[in-house]
Amino acid sequence: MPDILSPCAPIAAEPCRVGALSLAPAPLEEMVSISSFSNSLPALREAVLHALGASLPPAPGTATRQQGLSILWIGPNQWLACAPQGSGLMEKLQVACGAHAALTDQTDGRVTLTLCGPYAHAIAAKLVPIDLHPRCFGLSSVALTQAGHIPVILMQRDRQPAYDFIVFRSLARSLHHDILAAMRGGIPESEQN
Amino acid sequence: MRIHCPYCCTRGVEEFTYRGDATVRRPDLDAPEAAWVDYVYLRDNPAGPHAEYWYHAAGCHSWLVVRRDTRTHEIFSVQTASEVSEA
Repeated sequence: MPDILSPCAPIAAEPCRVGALSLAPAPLEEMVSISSFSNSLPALREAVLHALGASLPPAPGTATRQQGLSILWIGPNQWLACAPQGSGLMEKLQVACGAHAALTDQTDGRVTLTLCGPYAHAIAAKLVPIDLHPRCFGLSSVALTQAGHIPVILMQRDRQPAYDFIVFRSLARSLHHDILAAMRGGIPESEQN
Repeated sequence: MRIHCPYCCTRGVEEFTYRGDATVRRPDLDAPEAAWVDYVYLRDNPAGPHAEYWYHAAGCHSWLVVRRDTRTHEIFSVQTASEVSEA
């Protein structure tokens, strides 16, 4: 009889603080990826709105967020829905959209690290190769990119600013280490005004 | 070189993987062997405008057809491969 592995957090829940900056794993959420079947997009949009009360983001690189629920664009005709533990996200989606999209549970596969505090954008910018200026990357913007060499889904959670790095669970410790090193390196003088 | 992904906007080339010549076409099944050898093994190395497949590996995983000048890296157009195949 094989042992059943019990889930454990890949990194400690306590936030790491450097000055006013903080880095912490976000509370574990239920995550489901939604990949639209061909020619099913209009029906899928309606079904998701009906099932979750939130619509799929209309454009690439954005997310819709309301009351703990987020739906992030994660590629052409693909989205990632995230909801608090115990909300039965998969069941709701299966009933409503099972005929229009491939649904895959990602809950155990990904971890969200939240970096927040003043100049968080300057710290994040040390790792990601995209422009994080508010005119390019604002609240609820989503980018699929890499932090160092680690693939991430990046979302601006808050104007504070706060950024969510959604990363494969097996790479969470490496990413945590890299972001912490970037925080300890300080805020570049060129960014301080 | 920076490539304008139709979904992710302009990104550095380090996010993309070169996936080959976008001008080659698979020959008919009964085509002569020479046509198959050409299709499988032989590629031109043009100096100038060329169409290439690029895969947005570190981004949205789209396959793109990038038309660019191989001498200057000037990019003339970027389309998704599905758009090109449907045209």
